[in-house]
Amino acid sequence: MNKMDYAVEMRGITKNFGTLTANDKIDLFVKRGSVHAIIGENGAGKSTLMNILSCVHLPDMGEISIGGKKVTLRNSLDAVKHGIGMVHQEFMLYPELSVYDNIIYGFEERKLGVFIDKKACVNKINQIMTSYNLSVPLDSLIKDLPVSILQQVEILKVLYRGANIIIMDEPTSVLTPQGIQGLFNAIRFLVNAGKTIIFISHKLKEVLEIADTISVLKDGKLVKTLPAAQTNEYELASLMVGRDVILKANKRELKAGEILLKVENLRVKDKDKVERVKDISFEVRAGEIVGIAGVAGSGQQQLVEAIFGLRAPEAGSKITFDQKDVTKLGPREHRMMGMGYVPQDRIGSGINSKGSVWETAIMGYHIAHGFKSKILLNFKQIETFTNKIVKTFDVKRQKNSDSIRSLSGGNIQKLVVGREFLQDNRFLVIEDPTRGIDVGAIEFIWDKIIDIASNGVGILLISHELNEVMQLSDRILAMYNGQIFEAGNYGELTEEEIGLLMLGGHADEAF
Amino acid sequence: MKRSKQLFKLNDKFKLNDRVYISLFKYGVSIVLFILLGSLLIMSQGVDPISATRVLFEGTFGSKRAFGNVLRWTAPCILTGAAASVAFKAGVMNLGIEGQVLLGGFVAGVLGAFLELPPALHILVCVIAGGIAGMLYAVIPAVLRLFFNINEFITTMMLNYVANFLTQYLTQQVLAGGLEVWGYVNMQATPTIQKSAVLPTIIPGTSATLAFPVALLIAFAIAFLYKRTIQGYELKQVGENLRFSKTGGVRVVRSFMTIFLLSGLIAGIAGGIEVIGTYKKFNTGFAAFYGYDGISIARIAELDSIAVIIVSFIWAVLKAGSMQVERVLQVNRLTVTILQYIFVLFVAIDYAGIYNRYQDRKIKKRIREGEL
Amino acid sequence: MFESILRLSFAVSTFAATIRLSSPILFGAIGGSFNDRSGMLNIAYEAVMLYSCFFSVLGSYLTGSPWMGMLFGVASGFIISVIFGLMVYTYNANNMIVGIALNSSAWGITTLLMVLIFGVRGSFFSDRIVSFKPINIPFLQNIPFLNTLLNNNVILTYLAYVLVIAGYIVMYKTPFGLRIRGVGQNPAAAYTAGIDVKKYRWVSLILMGIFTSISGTYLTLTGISMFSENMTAGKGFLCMCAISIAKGNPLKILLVCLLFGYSQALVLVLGTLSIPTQIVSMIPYVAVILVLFVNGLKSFKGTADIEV
Repeated sequence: MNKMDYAVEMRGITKNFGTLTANDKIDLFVKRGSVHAIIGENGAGKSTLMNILSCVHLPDMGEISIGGKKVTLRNSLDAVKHGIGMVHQEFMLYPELSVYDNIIYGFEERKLGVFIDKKACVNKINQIMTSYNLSVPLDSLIKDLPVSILQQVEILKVLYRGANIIIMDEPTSVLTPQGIQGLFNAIRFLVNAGKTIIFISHKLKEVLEIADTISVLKDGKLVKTLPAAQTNEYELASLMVGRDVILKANKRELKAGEILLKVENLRVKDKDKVERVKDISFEVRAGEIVGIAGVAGSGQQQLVEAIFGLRAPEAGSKITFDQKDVTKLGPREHRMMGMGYVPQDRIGSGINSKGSVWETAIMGYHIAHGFKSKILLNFKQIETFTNKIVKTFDVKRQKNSDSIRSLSGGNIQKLVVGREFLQDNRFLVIEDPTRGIDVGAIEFIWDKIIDIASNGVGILLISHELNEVMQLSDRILAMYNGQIFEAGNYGELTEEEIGLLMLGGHADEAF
Repeated sequence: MKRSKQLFKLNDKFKLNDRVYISLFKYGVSIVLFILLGSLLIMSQGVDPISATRVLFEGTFGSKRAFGNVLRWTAPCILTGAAASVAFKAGVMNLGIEGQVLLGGFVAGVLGAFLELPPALHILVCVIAGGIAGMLYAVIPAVLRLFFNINEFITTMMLNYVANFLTQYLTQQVLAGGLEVWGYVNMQATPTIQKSAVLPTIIPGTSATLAFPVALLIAFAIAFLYKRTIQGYELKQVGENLRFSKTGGVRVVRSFMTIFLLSGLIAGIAGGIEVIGTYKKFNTGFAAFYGYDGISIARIAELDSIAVIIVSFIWAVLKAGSMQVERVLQVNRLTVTILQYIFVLFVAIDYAGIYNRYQDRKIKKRIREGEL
Repeated sequence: MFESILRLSFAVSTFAATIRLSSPILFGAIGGSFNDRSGMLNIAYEAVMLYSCFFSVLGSYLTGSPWMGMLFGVASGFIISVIFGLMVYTYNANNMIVGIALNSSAWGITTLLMVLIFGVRGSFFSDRIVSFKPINIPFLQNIPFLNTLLNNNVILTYLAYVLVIAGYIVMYKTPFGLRIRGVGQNPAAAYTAGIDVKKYRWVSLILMGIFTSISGTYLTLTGISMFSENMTAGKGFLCMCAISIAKGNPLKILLVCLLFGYSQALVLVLGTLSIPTQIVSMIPYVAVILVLFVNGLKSFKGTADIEV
């Protein structure tokens, strides 16, 4: 092995967070000028490893060599100096500053040593934009721009800082299939220009398409590194989880009842007064699972907020639940009418992280179901309900009065899902129910969703995981740019066809 | 890796959830530092700390009168502490307690002086009116927050000054006009209240009035509210995670308004009780420090209503004692005020966090050296 | 009566007083704007100012030089902000409580110091305390209107307005200002950009301490040459309000401070008429609420809601 071929060599990297071993003696060798993918399930240690390379964390043990020379990285600046740049999964941007400010932040060209040399900065950015075929509006504020532009800003950022090794952490999670191709083209361009790309993902198809080499991580350990050309989805999947896992749900025959939710001419503006939901109509029946597929930022958030009463829709919109007009009603009324909601933002909206397990468990239940008394809390009823959730959904906790922070992420999610499912609701709005959950728990929750639907509960499922929508939904709707498009019934369309709709490919079929 | 897991097991005892240990440590250290610093400050004024402590105890427990004095101060401390904890627990930064107390006291003082009612009724009217005055005064920052999203910490702070000036004006300029009618010369205070409005004492011959049991009652009521009622549960959730409560269907606007009003009500009652129980007239500016004292007490008590009672008692002991120490030993009473607030600072330190960080560093070092 | 009010409100001398009265608030507000942009709510302005008032007097008393007085004052402000930083950044205490505790104990401690060192209560004055002298700017002397308005001020007054310009440039035209603003919006992102977030927060905290203490020097050493108990009387909070209303923008801070200065000037000027002093004294505080209210009207939605 000619050492000079490797842009990055990581040996024996170990990192612990408290009792959790995130990386366990991992070796990684990345050839210069290649696309090297790191794959693994949630929690396998991929992000941690790359955070160590980009020096967000310091390793407990191990060494790193860049371009054949051993280096000690002490902080992010060191990483930048060695040409390492990272495009994070959560964008590291400043919402109230302009694109220009965001790109130059921390690496400003200076005039007289103390002032920002705007001309020099702008020149540098323009040069990069032409060299790499990227284009973004420099003076716009970050908060006003869509996600796809923001990703380009992130890439520009690392190029501006002179990165030769570019790490991308799950970059496609916010893109449509077509957007993904655009990203892949950009990656190929960068590689041709001599850059090295490290690509973190858990999406096997993409990885097989774009990567030259693939390293599989599982439970903090490196399982195997192999050339992409010599493997396939099934081998990778089994390396990742140790069993053949292409997740499938046990779908049952649809028995749809009467219309529960009817949305007509819905228009919703977000808090910055930008219209995000543009005149859509659809309905969901009892016992039916309607899935909305779409890339994040297509208006799903505002759609759900309007349906559940967290945001008032524009005039002319009408939302009917069980033949009653609920357009202007709030979450309280919705819950009392039998609608439940599993929010996407688990920690922010789903739980009270400062409270105990039971405090989170009864939120909403205390309104929809109530207690014997109108004024006093009934602790017996609280215990009963909380225990019911714990038992039915296998939530691992010690006592109901424990702080909810003592639960793991997966158990918290199960608690939240259980809370909404066990209130005898007639309708559920479910967002990303299995995001960040391990495979075993995913199947568990999917089974519960199908189960509850077969008991006559109407379900509106919004997920950013296309496979999830395709596996669970009786009817699929694709959402793009505030509009929805019919995407067939269960099993009718392929992933590519739905993906195309997620980009508004068949605009004339919008309704 | 197994060895490191063992290490963590040993130290798990001190991590995160051992609140009892942490609290004991926190208060213990703070008390020790309080005593040390206090001794220093007292010595710098030419007095030895032992005699100062002796005089302090004489001034608080030495006689029936002294103890009565302590109870007299405990009452407003409990009430302002309760008002503060109600607000801050829900995330409402009511820094305007002082202003609400002033207005409550003013209204009570005026009604006490100018109305003619049978005793029990008179007292009730004064106290309730004072509470309502404080409550209404809290409506202003509440509306500004709820309708215009203006952070209440500025508005309530500014309203303190407005309340001070307003009551001064009303007392000095408006009421003094009643000079001919009442023959009253003192311009810094409203006329003395009628005998029928005076709050009866509970320990005869002392200044301890019904204020103390009333304050206890209110504190217990608040504690009950938060621990046992649905409304209290919702208020706690709103204070700890607003979005969670909103999504859960809690009427957050109503909750916020309730908090503001409740906090203002309790503060107003505090003012009313002080005026008709202790001063027997409204003295301009009598509420200096009441607001920040209440907030500090609430903080030390970690926003728990029952703990507020205990902390208020200690606070009152210090306050009453400091006056005696000043009288006898000429140690400036501000010394105690300083110490009280420095105590607040010591208690505010996150000892658990420091300890955890120290432990983390030690463990990382051991791993790097012990294992390879 | 009404004409007198109008005449006095718009007199040149009133505006001149505005410029003078705005200066102390400007120092604290501009100095504290960086701290605010860095994401830390610090309400200890009263404490810093009051300590500086005292120590400025002490310094001038001991050395006979107002500049030394200012040095003493700045040193004390520096120490207070270091204490705040230690408590909040290193010991993780709640910033609001630390602010309240510092503010509330400042009165006691400065009064105690006055008693211990000078042996008096209430207020302390002495011939040995030397203030800054007003400066006569020659070319202004000959311009009638501008002379009354701008001339014959203490050097600190002029420095305050220079500071506004400096503050604006640093905030928007230097890397330091840009990085501070980023730290306040997204500290995680700043960290990945290699910025030592803690360092920037500390620096902006110290800046707040230094400039707010100059405010304190201004209150004591620009004419009255004395220290009274609790003499800041809410001026520190006005600094804080200015920053809050202006959202950290130095130019907007200037406008707000001028407004505060003007309302304080009105208190002085209208007090000569038989308008009750208390009503006039309320003006600055009511002004804050009104400004906030007007500001808030812009985003008024007609319904009550709590924004998350």
